[in-house]
Amino acid sequence: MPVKKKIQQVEIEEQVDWAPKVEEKRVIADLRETLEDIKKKDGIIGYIIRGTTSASVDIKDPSKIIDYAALSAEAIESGETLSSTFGLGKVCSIVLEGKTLKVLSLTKGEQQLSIFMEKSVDHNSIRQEIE
Amino acid sequence: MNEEILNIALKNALAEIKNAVSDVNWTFILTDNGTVISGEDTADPNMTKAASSFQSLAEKASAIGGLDNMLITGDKGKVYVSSINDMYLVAGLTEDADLVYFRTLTGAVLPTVLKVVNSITSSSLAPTPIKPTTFKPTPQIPYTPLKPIAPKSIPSELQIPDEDEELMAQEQEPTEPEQTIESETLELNKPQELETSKPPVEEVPSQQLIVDRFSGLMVKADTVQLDVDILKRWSALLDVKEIDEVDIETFSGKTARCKAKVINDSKLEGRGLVRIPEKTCQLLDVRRGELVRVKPVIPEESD
Repeated sequence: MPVKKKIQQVEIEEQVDWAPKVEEKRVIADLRETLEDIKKKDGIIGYIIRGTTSASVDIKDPSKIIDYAALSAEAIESGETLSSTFGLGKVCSIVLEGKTLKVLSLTKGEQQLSIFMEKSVDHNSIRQEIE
Repeated sequence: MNEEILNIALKNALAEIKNAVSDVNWTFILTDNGTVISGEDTADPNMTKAASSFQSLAEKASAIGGLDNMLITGDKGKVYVSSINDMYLVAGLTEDADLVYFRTLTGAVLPTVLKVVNSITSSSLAPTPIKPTTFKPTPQIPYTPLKPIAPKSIPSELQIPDEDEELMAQEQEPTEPEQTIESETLELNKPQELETSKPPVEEVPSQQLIVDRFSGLMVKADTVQLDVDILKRWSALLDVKEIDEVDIETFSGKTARCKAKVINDSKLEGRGLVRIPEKTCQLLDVRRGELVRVKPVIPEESD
């Protein structure tokens, strides 16, 4: 059984106008709850959420965390570059398929998330669950 | 693979794919050396920008076993990237594009194009077996006989060659051009000259041979392989025990002095080949199938 590792940064309150942040926190909490449910499914390897002030990583194989985090960031950045270059508008999702695994990356509110899964998993159903 | 042919073939294939699929806005192929082959008449500078961004992503994709394909869905369109052999096809599609049809089409067309181009270029580069008649000495050395029979067949004790021996020697030759026989006869008439004098440096025989590149762990970069017949003929002509070194000259003027050995692959014997190690080929800037001029180096102690 692979060791689960969770890295979480503490969010820092900076603004006086904190009312929208409560909403945001709720969204993040809901999102994490959804991701936890998704993670229980067969073929799901883990996920990475990156917000403006915090990041959360939950990957089954801890030795892969850095590689996956780098890939996730690069996929989102590359998607945005290609989108702005070719006028695709707002990026809804990025599906990156490797020889062994695939990654579904999307942006939900302020949160950028990437879900790593086996190639046999239907990423469209995962995306619908999140959206 | 010939890059120019490949580029033309892929460019045409991309143009045809775009014509066949109305959902395609633009396409380009990113090769493993970073070249962008566009299906458009004029290359879009955005493609180069996108290619560099994508290259960096492809490197990081090793975490998931290398990049196979990618789909970016925007609210105004899609970008689909697919790996084909060691290249990437990047296509801009409309929002409601039929991705399955596009994948099927490109997955069938592009690998086929690559395969065809590869087979055409590799077959055109393969050395063709040449007839023995092409083993003529170069025109610059008119007196050079084709076979080493002449000097060997005249023993120095006899001084004058026996007419029967001469006829036999001529009969043994398979099919030689008349002119060559004449020159040979001319040599036979002057046996003493051949016996006593060593050919001057400018009259060293040379031969045009087809390059065959070879490599391996135990291959010495300074040693080329030649037909045993050629080496024997040269050693007989130069009246030396054996030819240890040869000068190789390319048509672009590059030269290299290499040690000479006999071709060790019986299948390649008698085909007019000079087998040059890969490193030396790179130094001489020659490719497999090209012609080079090979001259024997006269050893210092040839007496």
